[in-house]
Amino acid sequence: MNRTREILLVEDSPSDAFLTREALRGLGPRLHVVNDGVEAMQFLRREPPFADAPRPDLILLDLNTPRMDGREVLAAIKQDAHLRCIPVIVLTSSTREADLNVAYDLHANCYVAKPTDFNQFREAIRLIETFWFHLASLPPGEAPR
Amino acid sequence: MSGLDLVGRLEGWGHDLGPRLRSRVRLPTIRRTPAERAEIEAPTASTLERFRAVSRWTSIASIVVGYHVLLGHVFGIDLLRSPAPGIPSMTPSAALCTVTAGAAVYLLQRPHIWAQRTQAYLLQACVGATATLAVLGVAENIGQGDLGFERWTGMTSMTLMTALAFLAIGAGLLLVDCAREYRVAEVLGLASAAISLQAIVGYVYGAAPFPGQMPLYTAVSALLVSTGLICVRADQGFMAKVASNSLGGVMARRLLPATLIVPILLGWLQERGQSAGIYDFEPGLAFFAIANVAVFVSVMWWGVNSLYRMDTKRRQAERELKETAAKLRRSNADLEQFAYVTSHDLKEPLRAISGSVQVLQSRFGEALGAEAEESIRHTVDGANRMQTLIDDLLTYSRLTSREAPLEPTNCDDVLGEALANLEVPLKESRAVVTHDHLPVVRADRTQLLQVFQNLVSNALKYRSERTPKIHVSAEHRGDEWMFSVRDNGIGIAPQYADRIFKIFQRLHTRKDYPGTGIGLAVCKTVVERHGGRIWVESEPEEGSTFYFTLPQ
Repeated sequence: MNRTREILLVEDSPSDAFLTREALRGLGPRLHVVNDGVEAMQFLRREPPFADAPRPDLILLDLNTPRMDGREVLAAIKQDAHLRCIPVIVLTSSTREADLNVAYDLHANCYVAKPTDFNQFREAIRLIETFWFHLASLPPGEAPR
Repeated sequence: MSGLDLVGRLEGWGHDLGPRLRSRVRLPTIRRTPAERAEIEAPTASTLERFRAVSRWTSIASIVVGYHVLLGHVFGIDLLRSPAPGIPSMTPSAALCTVTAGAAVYLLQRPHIWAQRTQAYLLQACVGATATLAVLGVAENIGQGDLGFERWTGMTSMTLMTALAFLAIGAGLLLVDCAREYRVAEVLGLASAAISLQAIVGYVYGAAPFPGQMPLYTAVSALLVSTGLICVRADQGFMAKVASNSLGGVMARRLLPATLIVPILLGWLQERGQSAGIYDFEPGLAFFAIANVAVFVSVMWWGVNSLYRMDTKRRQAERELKETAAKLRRSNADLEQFAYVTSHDLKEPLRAISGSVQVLQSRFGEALGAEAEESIRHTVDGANRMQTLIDDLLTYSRLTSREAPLEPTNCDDVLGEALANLEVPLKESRAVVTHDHLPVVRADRTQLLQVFQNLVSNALKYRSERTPKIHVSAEHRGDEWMFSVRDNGIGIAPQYADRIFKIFQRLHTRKDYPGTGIGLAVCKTVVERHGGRIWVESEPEEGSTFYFTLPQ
């Protein structure tokens, strides 16, 4: 299983996207960034302009994204028989218990609060990468369509 | 990467995720016990004083009347025994009874009368004499004078009605300070007042006294003593309601005099008119009835009016209270929103600043040189401090915006949990923590944990060269518990004893002692939310003791 792992990051903040990219520097997975929930669903369903998009192995989802927010994206993914087996990690600045509860209610695979310090942030991203791609076993990348 | 390594790395950043607290907007509900309600409507000091004055002056007046009647008997002055020929004289035994009963009522005004031996004996003697004379009077009347009371004492015995009135007064006096019996004393006082008033009104209307009727002077003095007895403990029994600060009390105080005086006055007018031949009995009675109706309608109208006014005011106040509560709920929701904005929206740019600079450092650090390094360090340091401030502010705002109900909480358990949370710094400083048995109090457990944890953590942080020794104890004081956390640290100069409890107030540089200055502000807010106080006593260089109280 040496194919490149694909991560989809749903994030409207360019700086957070940049930091995530930096945090993953030197690690295997390829990062795709979309700016809001609508784009995320287009990416996942391979609708234009994402007709050639790969199926991600992991989704990093911010809760507060424009147009369609993270909760709606999460609900849409988990209701979609083809998409719901992709692990979704909610990655957000919020430490509100309400957000945490909603995320798990909507079947998020885990909830991670973004640390402010970059070293800790990088550590968090790398831990996620380590856990989901090296320790956990994931379903095969291309589900039958 | 091995599993152990993973755990180690998780611990590295996991503690920064911040405490997660319940999210709920609640308003504190005010539930009052009957005792608290009674306290709110308790008589004001000036009202009580007015009733005491009534009691004092009526008792003095009754002593004066009784004394003069006795003088009249001793020196044979008729006017001092009866106001007019044809009206029976007040007998010496009734006069004596009036003096002793009046003296008893007067003595009952004294503060702590039962604690002062001589006065207490005097009071007992007065009450005893009144009761005895009254009992003898009744017995004499029932026994048709066969008991020999007059022969033995040389005094004419009192009439039956007098004896009954004073019997009621004597029994009432006996019961005044018996627990919960003041109502009985009041009823007995009212009974004797009714008996004497009936006699007085009879004389005023010119009715011929029936056998056993009270003489006029006796009736007046018995009425005075009864009034004194009824008013002597205006903060207890039925009188507590009349004297109370409630609407009922105000109405009672205004209406009672009118309902007593007006019908008697009207009856007198009717009788005068009739005996002057202005009208016959039937038209007089009609006049009396109609006049009474008119008076009662106007009194009732007055009552209706004031009730209406008060009720309108109360409803308005209720409406305003509801509006205020709604406003408070809205502002609580705003605060919640504010907390969310700080936690999310402010952190994102902070992360952008410190993250980008750190990326700059790790990617191009060598090319940038020492000065750039330093400026990067300052940037990152600043961003981190701001992050801590935001987190602390959030913690502080959550203290009041997310109020959980107070539940019985075992402080031993809470302290144990606080010490477990502080395990690492406790071990590092080799601190010795001891504690007494701590009670169960009504508290918000999460918040109480913050108090214990902050106080113990402060004791560790501001330690001296000595091995830190911390002792936690609790002491029962009145209706509250006083907790203390004592340490042998560097102490606090007394002039700062108040300042340390204000948010973001610090006494040391960040270099010496890191922190934003939120811990004690949190403690103060939590303790005050629970209805307690917090303060510090300290000897610089010797150590500090933080005290806080929690209601039982």
